[in-house]
Amino acid sequence: MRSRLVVIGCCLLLSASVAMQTNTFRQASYFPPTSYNFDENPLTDAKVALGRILFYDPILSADSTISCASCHSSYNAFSHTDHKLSHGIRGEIGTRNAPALFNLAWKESFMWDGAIHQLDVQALAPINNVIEMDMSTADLVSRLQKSAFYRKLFFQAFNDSVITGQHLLQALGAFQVTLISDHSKYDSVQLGTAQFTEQEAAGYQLFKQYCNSCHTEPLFTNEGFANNGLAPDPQLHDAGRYRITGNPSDSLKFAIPSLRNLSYTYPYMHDGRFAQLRQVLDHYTSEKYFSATLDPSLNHAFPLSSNDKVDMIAFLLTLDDKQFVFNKAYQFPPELLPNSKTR
Amino acid sequence: MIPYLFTLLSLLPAKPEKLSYGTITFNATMQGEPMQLHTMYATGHGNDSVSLSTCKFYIVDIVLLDGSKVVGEPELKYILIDLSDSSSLNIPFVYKGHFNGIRFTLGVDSATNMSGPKAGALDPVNGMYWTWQSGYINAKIEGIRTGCDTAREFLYHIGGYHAPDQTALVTYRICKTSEKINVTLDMERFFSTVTCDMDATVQIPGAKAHALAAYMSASFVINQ
Repeated sequence: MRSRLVVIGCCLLLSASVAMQTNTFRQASYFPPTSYNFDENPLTDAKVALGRILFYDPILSADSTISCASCHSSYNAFSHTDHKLSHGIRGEIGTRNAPALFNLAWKESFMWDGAIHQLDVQALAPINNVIEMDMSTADLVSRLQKSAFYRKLFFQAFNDSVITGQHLLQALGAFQVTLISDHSKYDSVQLGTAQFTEQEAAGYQLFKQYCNSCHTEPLFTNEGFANNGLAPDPQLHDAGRYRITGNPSDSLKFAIPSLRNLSYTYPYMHDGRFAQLRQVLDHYTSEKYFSATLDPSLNHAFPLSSNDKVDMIAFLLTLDDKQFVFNKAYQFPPELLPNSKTR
Repeated sequence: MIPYLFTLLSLLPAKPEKLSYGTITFNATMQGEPMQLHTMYATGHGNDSVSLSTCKFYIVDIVLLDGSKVVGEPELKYILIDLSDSSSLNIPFVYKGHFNGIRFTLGVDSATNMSGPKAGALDPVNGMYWTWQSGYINAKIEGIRTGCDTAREFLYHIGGYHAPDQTALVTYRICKTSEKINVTLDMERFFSTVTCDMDATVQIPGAKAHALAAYMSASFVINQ
């Protein structure tokens, strides 16, 4: 009898903690206006909760082995640490480093080459890609439709238990748009509740001089594309944005990533070639691979001393957002646990 | 009393014009013969013949026109025609009075391409949305062709919404007032312009997709 009471008590505690975990959207006062169209996909708790469950469920892949979280782990700011190129279905290796996911409401394009222009439709790319999840949208929708668990969740989110591609994508987008990183030390400094150390402040000055034009505050990206002078990988033959626009002036250009959460998102660059931040800085203080599209600001190596680099890294580490990375509301949802009563 | 009645009658709205109902039927033909999928048809050019395995395309913003005035339209703005699904081929419409022209767009407008996922005919579940990049595939024409030495299989995924290679093209045809309108995709005309020296596979936006959209748009014929 007592053990039954303990079990019931635990269940109540668990459900209370689940209920407390809500993902909502917020806009820091010093962030720019968002790009995401909230009118088209209004956020609700039920929709975000469904999106979170879908994000972590390998049901999205053909053989039910790969979820979005397989390559976008919450503990790595939703990137794939330690893997230069991401692993997909059946052990297949992709051609690019899985990008970190946060502050997506401010993004104007997605993927390293900007192939996708809207967050909600982005999920089609990994779901349909034969070496990522290898699942047709129609097959996925009919698979979800057969699940009483998902019919109920879609009804709660969209007032319709007939599952559609639109609702699937909107739920995934709704969850991802709540992934907001604005609790780093840098953010506290912006809000006047913390101060940089002397070293961080020195690094910040250097950052503003050399990096801010592309990795623009406070999101630490200007949403553009650039050729930063990396020699093309002879195996990957990746021309970047040129593949999308067909415009030679876009050859070897890749999306400029945010510099938030760098401690959690190594390796760096579109092909994950640099495992350490120091290697990244060394690249910018070295001769570049010259091509017609090399960003003009990189024609000359940055004159940074070894001490300068240490200061710069000290500043960059103030962009780590532990609260974001360890936020339980973004992690594996209890509904997907094998013994979950809701499943 | 009589002047009062007269005033009252004059205030009543004019009798509304009667609504009429009709059906637009889409099909594809080769040398006048309706095409079935997976069936070989001679194109009439040498020993060339074509079999379609897929023939799907978006028809958007259909209107029936009396001069430049819109007098009729179907209920739905976005329609996905799929030769493998006979229920998709008949489009009911309503109209008032008379019409002498029909106008529609082959493909999805750029504003819709630029926004988020859509429902109904536009739901990505229909397989007409690119996944490696954003945007609708306005038309899929796939099959085999015997008359070309270069390739037996052809695969045309026609899309792209950025100028100058946008593929959503407006088509206008003269059309008599009728409850039945047959809009035929004349594949003889299409394959006389899409010759063997052109690429057998086009699956990305660009000048080639734009040209294919123009050839396809020019191949619509009204049969009444």
